[in-house]
Amino acid sequence: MTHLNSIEPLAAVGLRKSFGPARAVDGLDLEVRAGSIVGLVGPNGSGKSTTLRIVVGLLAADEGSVVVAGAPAGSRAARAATGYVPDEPTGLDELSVGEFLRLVAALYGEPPGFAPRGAALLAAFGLERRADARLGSLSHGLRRAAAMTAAFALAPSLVVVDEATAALDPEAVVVLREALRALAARGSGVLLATQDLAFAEAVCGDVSLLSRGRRLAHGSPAELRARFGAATLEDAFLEAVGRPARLGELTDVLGAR
Amino acid sequence: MSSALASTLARCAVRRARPVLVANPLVAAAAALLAVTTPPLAAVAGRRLGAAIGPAVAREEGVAAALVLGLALTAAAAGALTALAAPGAAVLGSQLRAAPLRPLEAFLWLTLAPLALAALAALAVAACVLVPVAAAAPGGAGTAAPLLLGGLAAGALGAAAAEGILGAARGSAAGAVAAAGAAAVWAVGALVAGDALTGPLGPAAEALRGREGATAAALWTGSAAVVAAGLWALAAVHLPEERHSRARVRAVLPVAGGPYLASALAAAKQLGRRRELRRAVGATAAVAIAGAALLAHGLAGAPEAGFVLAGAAALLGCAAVPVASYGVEREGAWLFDGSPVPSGRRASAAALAALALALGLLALSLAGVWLVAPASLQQFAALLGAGCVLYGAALATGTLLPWRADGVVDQLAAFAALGALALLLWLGLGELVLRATHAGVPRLLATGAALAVPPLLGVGAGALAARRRRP
Repeated sequence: MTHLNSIEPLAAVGLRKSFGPARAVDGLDLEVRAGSIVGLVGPNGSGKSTTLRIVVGLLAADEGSVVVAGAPAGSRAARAATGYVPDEPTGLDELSVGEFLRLVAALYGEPPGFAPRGAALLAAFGLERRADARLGSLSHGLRRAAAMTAAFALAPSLVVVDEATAALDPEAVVVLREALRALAARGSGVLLATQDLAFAEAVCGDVSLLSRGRRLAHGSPAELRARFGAATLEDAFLEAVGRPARLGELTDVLGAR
Repeated sequence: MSSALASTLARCAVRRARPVLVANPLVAAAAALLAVTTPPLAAVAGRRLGAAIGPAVAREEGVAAALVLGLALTAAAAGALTALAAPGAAVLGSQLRAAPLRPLEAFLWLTLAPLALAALAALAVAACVLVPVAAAAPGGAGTAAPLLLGGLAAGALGAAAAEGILGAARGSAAGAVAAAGAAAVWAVGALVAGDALTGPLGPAAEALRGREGATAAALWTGSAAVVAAGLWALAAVHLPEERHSRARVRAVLPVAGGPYLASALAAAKQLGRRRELRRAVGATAAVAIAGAALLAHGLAGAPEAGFVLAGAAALLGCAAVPVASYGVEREGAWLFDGSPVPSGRRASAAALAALALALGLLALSLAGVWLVAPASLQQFAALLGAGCVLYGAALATGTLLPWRADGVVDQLAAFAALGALALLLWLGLGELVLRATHAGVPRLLATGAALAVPPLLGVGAGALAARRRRP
């Protein structure tokens, strides 16, 4: 049984969420301590994004308790303590990158140090010269970089990143990795979901393997590798969730003339 | 923070509109011309209407009540339609919806403020019609004020009831309170005014007949508007999140009929499965049927008037489907524009499907109204004919101002443009039919040809836009 610690960036106990008859999250416990980076990995539909959306207050859990920086998830205080990067940032496409950042700062009460952090992130992600470009004109990867700039510049207690490396180029992945490490070093807790197991292995101190809304295993990448007798986290993942079925049939059908 | 939200919404709306107007200077000129000419045209229409209705208000008991209730039903349907379609905080996008924004603040700046501005513009045009109408009635020009405030109250009541019922369906006690409150406002108004038909708008009808002072009636209907707005805010602020259901992947089956039928079916399914459209159509049909019940009770001597007045509300609600058609079709541009099928013909098929869906839904809604307030087949056909004009215009305006589920200003602009274009087509085609019949063309033929023009215009506009979109 996990005990809630009200000053932790995130403490979630017994989370359950169903969509109709489908159970997306099934009794999940989750803890993100200050200065730690926690990764959620699992197949599509395993409940990663649903869990993150509950944590940031965009979905209500059917059961369980989620406390963000001492406040119930979804409350104003919890939202103010969280910086969120969705898997597909949308909306307000007509704003320029700079206007978007100013709006984010206004909505979060002008956090001290937002501007210099934002400027540094813009430069690192290569968005500095695109500050006047409309969000809608950016590529998917740059749009995500702009969303990350906004969320990370808040330097909140809890940083939540969905599909962390999706659409990012290798250079941006390096920037993301260093930014997350820097945020953790200053005391933020980081919760990310990713399909990029190499990235999770490199960045996360703790990884939870999810399948069908349940946590199959968790621990440091080294612990998970040892537990499944695997050389890499990817092998450990495949051992835990099972290897793709009917691959032979697929190649036969696709390859047939 | 509030100013940041308001300026962001305005800036985004202007930036979306600018390229549309620059790319279509003729449309921009027509919009400016309409904006300038609509108030005087409305005033002329009001004077003619007043000359016809004014003496009837003095002569016949039910005319003032029917006028007030017709206005209230249209306003309530418009209130329900816009409140249910308005995206609220979703306009901020997936990232900023998680920002620490108070629900009341979000409602005020992202929903109420833009809708209130649109309502003010609509009231200004309505005043141009209603002031001369009221001036011709026994109560005098001053009674236009309670009529206008009554329209505002009915719009807010429609929004409160629709959003309250939606909230109650999702398990919100506040939603149930708001919906019950909206009904209570009507019931209390009916008790105080002693008229179950017009509820809180009864004093406006009485003022029109010269039996009550305009100021007292305005105070009464104005108070009802304030209470209704409060109930709407209560429902909106406490609206629980939408219940999501996971889609099931179905087997891939070949579609008979080729690419055009497949496109038409896909368009109909896409539109039919949009929750905001289903709610809007359902809510306005409910308003229409409830209004028909009131009118059938109150205007026992003129049941067809009840059918026409209530049917007009249903007519308005189903217009959301063709207005949204091109915007929804455009969401699939990544597939359609890369496919080997000619885009114009495929888009025509999609637009025709939207038109057929809207007319089908209208027929169903009218059938519901007819059960409560029976009318002749001619009245039924007349409203379906009006549907052809309105929905053809809706397809065209939806092409120029594509529907965005997350754009409240875009939706309001599309509805405003629809109103102007439909009015223009109605007057223009009416004049043509008159001239054609005077020239000896059979009336049925002239009317049928005129009714075909707006759908052709709408389908053609969609096809042209899809062809221009494709590189």
